[in-house]
Amino acid sequence: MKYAIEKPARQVAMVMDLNKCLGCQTCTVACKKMWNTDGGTDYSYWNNVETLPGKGFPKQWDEIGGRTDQGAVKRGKIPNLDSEYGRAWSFNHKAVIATDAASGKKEWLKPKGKPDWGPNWDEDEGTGTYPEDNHYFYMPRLCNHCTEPACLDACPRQSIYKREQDGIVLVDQDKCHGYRFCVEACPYKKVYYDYQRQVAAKCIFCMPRIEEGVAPACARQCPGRLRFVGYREDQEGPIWKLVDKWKVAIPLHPEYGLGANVFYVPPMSPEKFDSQGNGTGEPRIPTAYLEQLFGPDVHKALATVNAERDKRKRGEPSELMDILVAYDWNENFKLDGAVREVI
Amino acid sequence: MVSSTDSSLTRRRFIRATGSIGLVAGSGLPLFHFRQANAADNEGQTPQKLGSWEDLYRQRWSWDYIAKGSHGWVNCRSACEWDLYVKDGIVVREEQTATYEASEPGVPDFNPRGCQKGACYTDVMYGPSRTSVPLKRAGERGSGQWQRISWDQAIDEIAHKMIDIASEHGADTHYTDLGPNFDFGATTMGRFKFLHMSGGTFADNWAEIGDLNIGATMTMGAAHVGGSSDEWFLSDFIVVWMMNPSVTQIADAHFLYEAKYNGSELVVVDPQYSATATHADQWLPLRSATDAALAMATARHIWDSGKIDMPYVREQTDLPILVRLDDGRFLREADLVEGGRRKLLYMWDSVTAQPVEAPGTQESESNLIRLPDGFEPPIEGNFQVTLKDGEQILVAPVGSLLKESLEPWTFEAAAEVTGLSVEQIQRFAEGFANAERPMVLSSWGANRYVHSDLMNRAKLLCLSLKGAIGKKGAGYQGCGWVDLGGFGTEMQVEHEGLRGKRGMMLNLLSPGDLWDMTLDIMLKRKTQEEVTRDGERKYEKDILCATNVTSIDLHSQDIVPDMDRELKNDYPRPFSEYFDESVAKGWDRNLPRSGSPKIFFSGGSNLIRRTNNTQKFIDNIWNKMELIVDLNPKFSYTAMQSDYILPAAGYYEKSGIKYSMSYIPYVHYCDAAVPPLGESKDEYEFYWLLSKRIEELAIEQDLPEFDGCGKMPSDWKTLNQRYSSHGHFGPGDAEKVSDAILAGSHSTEGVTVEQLKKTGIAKYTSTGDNVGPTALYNPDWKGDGVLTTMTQFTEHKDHWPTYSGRLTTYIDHPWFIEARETMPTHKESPKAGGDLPFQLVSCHSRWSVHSTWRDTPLLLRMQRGEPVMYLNPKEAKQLDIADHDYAELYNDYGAVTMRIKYSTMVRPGVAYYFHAWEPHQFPNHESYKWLIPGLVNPLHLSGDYYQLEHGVNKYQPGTAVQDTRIGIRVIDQASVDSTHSTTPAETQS
Amino acid sequence: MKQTLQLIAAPTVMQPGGYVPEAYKDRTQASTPTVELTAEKAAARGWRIELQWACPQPVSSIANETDLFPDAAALMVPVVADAPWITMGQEDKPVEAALWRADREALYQLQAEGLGTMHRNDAPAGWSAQSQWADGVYRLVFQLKPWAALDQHGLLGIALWRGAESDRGGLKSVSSGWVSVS
Repeated sequence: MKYAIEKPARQVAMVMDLNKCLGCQTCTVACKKMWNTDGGTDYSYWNNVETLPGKGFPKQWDEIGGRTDQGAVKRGKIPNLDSEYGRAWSFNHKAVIATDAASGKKEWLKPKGKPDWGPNWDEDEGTGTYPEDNHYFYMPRLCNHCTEPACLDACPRQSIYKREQDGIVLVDQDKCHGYRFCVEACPYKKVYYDYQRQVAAKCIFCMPRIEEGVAPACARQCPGRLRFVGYREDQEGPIWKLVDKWKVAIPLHPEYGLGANVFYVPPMSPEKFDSQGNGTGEPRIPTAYLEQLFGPDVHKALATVNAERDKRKRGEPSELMDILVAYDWNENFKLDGAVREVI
Repeated sequence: MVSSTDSSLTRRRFIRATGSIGLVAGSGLPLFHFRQANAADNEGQTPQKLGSWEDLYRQRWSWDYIAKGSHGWVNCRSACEWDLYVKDGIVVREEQTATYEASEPGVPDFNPRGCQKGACYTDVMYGPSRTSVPLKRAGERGSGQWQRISWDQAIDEIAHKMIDIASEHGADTHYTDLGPNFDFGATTMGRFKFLHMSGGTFADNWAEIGDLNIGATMTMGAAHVGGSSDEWFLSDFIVVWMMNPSVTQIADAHFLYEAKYNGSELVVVDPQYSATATHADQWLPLRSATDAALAMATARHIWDSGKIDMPYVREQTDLPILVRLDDGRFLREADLVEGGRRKLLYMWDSVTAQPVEAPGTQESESNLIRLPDGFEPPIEGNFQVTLKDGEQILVAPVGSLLKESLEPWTFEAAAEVTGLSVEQIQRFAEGFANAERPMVLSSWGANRYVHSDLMNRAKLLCLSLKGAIGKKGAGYQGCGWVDLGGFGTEMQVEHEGLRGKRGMMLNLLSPGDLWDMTLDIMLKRKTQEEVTRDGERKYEKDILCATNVTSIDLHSQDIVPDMDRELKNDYPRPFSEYFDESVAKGWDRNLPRSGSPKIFFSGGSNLIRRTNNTQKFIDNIWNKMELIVDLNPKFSYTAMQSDYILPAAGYYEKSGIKYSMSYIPYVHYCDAAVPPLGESKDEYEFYWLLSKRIEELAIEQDLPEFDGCGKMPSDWKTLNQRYSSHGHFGPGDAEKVSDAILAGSHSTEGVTVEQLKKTGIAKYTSTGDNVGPTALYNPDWKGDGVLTTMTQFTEHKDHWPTYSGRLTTYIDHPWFIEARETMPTHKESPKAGGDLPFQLVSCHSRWSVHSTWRDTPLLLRMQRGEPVMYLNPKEAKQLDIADHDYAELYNDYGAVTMRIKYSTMVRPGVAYYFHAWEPHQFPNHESYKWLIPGLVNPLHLSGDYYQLEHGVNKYQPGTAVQDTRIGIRVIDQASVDSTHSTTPAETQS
Repeated sequence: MKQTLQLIAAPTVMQPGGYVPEAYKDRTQASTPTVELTAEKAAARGWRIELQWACPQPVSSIANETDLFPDAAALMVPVVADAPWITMGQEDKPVEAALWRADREALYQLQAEGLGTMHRNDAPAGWSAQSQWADGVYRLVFQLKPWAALDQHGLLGIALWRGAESDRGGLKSVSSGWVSVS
């Protein structure tokens, strides 16, 4: 029987502007270093950046989750560590640096085993034909801290809850028994299993930092400055402006029907060429593909971004462009007033 | 479960115990001093439960203290300040400080900067290839057999060997390159002061690694030109042309994409659909190395469409300068008047129909290039002049010759060469021509073709015609840097109290030279800057023992015949003739005098890793050296081939000042957040101790004075006295040295270490007093506003540091006339290594700064764990090579094995890689470098032509990697493992 | 006294939350259809309870993997006589259980008052189990000393989880009700 999920007093949320993403993975490393350095989570990346079109991390996550494209429950799959996540490979540094001279052969530095997948395996691969329409873009992903979380819905033990004060979705590490229905059910595949502690673990939206008014590490450490963090309801904050006012930030796979609270400004791309090398006027990333990812709202979002950009080209003011430029980086984050100095 | 306190104690004990691990029998390796996982591993395993389970996470975000840090030594072109979170004596993580301010209203701020590598230097510092104890080679070089020794033994043995080798071969056979792992602080100061004070040879490697923008030097007299990265935001037409900021300039790239939101057009010219190109408005997928053709067509369009900034062109460029049509040389006063000056050039005065002196040329009366009011010299036409012997000849302004040379470069012609469509070129050229503030981003990677100079000259030509260079929000962004004069002073001066560039020269130049300089200033014959510049040129030529790595390779490595063969169709004469002439005329620095170097101190740079034609280098240079010491925080490939590996302190374990490109006009400090790991030592301290030991031995032996490289004597009986500035700096005084460097720099007025320990950063107070090739030429910038460069010429009208005193289109050096490179043009890339199907093209890596993060497990896991060559999937499939297969890459120089990665970003016909993989990451420890001959452009051996004169950071022969051609073939996958590997990879968790 | 028990699939429709009942509504067949139970009480040694069931693909380790589940078996007893079996008790009508997992030595002791309420603790010192898998058959012997609730009511429920079938939590094969062992 479905649980009744109480609406939190406020919902913390994030917007990521894909037109500024560098694919540098600083967010991934920032998150990893902070939360996932233990043995059982070495393979897991609460935040990852994938090259799209591509198979992503875990591999083909959008095909193995617990929701249909109508938002109905379907049985999901728990990704395999080797073939779908990619095991955190170990390396042979010592043997390489200390070559065994007697053998006359040189071992070279490489991962143990024969890995064939990892968190960024298809980096920069993309699709299409050079130079007519080859394309790719970078897509950072983290837990969407959904309004109707599939993970919460899947836990028979009610170990997953949505915090009253900020809507952050957490897995109670004491209560969890490691059944992994949440891992299975999440259609974004953003709940991981700590295989040493045998509990599920997921992005906590840097809850301890949020409590002190500091943006999550992935957002605050993002050199591309593409992340905005604040409360959904705050009409003075960047989230409301980008999501509700300008409607340029839209959730990933809205058809899952979970009410994701992480939003994306969809990517523009240079135009395609015909076989003569002349521009066709169409973006290299097919809008049909973007619609698959972001739903039909993507068209209007892109149109708005382009129209406002044209305004700036004409020298006219644009609130939207000013927000996306992020003149004052600190304004990308609007949390509680008492911001903790991280100095 | 143990409490967190217990576990941290364990950890602390562990680290402290590292110093006492002895030589391990068998493999003989005390290499691995402690658990190889990162220091933060234990975090969170042992939470103290407080109120609720959520405290488990709250505890992970906790620390004992925070120190300020940067990655000062890593030779990253940018700089970022970090907070280092220290817990139980370990730096557990780092996060950007992010306290930069916007340069001026209406421009985005710089925050937060950083990248994924900076965010995990802790993984390098505590990683599996960190050095922690001194090691001495116990087998053959490269055998992997090491013996642990004490610092005392290491220093004593090295001191003895240095004295022996210098006595036999000369002190100048001691050689050091620059390479990664240098900063502007005490550690690098120590390394080079030791070199300098002991009379050793410094070999510049800017051009050798393909980073030196020779085209910029030719055109502007300066190789390192570029303002703060927020200046990008101000351009209305940004051309990223041979650069990939999303990958190589992560901290700054945002300004490009923000400029788009501000209404700018973003163009990326790149054969690859790069990470930067994905965000472009226009992507121009041209054929590799045809950039000059695109630029020539663009310049032609700018001219034809009347979009030339004529007042700018007349004043700032050489387009009005007259050239003799009989011999292609400039018209000089010496041509017209008996006893006339050679370096006085002319323009045409249409009113009087006479040639008139061009102001601001080298021997002109005026230092300024400002033209007299109302004087508008023509840039087109032919004119007749009478020479001193009465002969009448035709002369023409450079512009006239240029127009003629642009004539063939129609859009159609450029389309033919570049593979672009006419429409693509036209759209680009029109955008460029119509822009108010066109800007070209052209990185160090823009210099990797043998004809890169022509490409960059052509790009600069487009900007020159548009009046964009030296104009705010426009111009050329080629990586400038802010000068920290105190660094040079501390490095080269043995007396305390001398400050600044001029102070340094007071210490180094002869009294006669100094008197001449003073007179020049008093009589206003020259500006102070000019006197300083001349002094610096004289200093570098007559005093400094400086050459370049390529020159050493040419002299010692037996590669001249390779160059003769590879370039036989590309220049009028064989390469060897140019080389011989350069040596004979003293243009080539030809050091060390006795031939090849014998002593090599690697400062953590990775010489073998980066050297082209690697096997030849190892056979001809490396193995002939008698003492090789690598002072390094990491086991690099170079370290593994050395005689001694000495553990240098990690970046967060010593005081340092990041060298700073002008992108981010702040000084960045790195504090010693924690003590050096194990037995590792700050480099500054090591060289202090070594110079002391050498001094002791020299006194004991009454060692005769050396003559350095023949320019200055070097008495090793006073080596430490001079190194320590006569006792002013003790071995533990690195921080004091940092303070002295800051105090001695005009760009850091009032900035102290004490302040930087708190803030990490301080805004530069000026661009420094550098007048050399790395100067930014903006005397007005005092820390406020966006940093624009070259305004010294465009606003103050000082003459440019070039032969003509102007932005140079025309080079009348005889070699250039002969080679038909007086003006920019397109020349085809030679097929180095054989006429094979793939052009080998590289880019700096997203995942490493040179080799420093290349073997870091955390980051390798986010790649594929091994080096990969990117190929277009269609081509790879045609070769029957599956994604992630090993393949054989081959050409005339050999064959190596490497994995293939599919990527649709890659242009067919290109094999694309992100650089700096260590050789030991390849089967048989041979990388693609084994296949790269590294073409040397013979014209870069030229001299005696103002800007075309050997100079550190400025002009020198280098090697071009991107002209290399390779073939790729499928190989039996199973054979790779069986041939090259003996034992399965061990588990290290 | 040896008895053969038919097992049923625990009804997933009753599972808490929206996902499991829907995603596993097709799980109507027990993954382990029968089990042989031998329960003996020796005053001094407490209970010796032996289970034997067919299992073609045992899973005895889930270490270092994300998608493995261990074989497991539980013996559940009512603390009050009318505690419902299939819902693992209900409020104020608790049940207790001994849980064996193929991937660990020690037993767990479970306590529950309805689905989703289960608490898991280390088992008391006197509880142990020995397992053996051979030729497709598990033989599992519990030694449980003492177990007051079992002494008192003599009722036992059995649950088996097959790792290879991704059994865990409410995905299990169970006896159709309390079984008398007194």
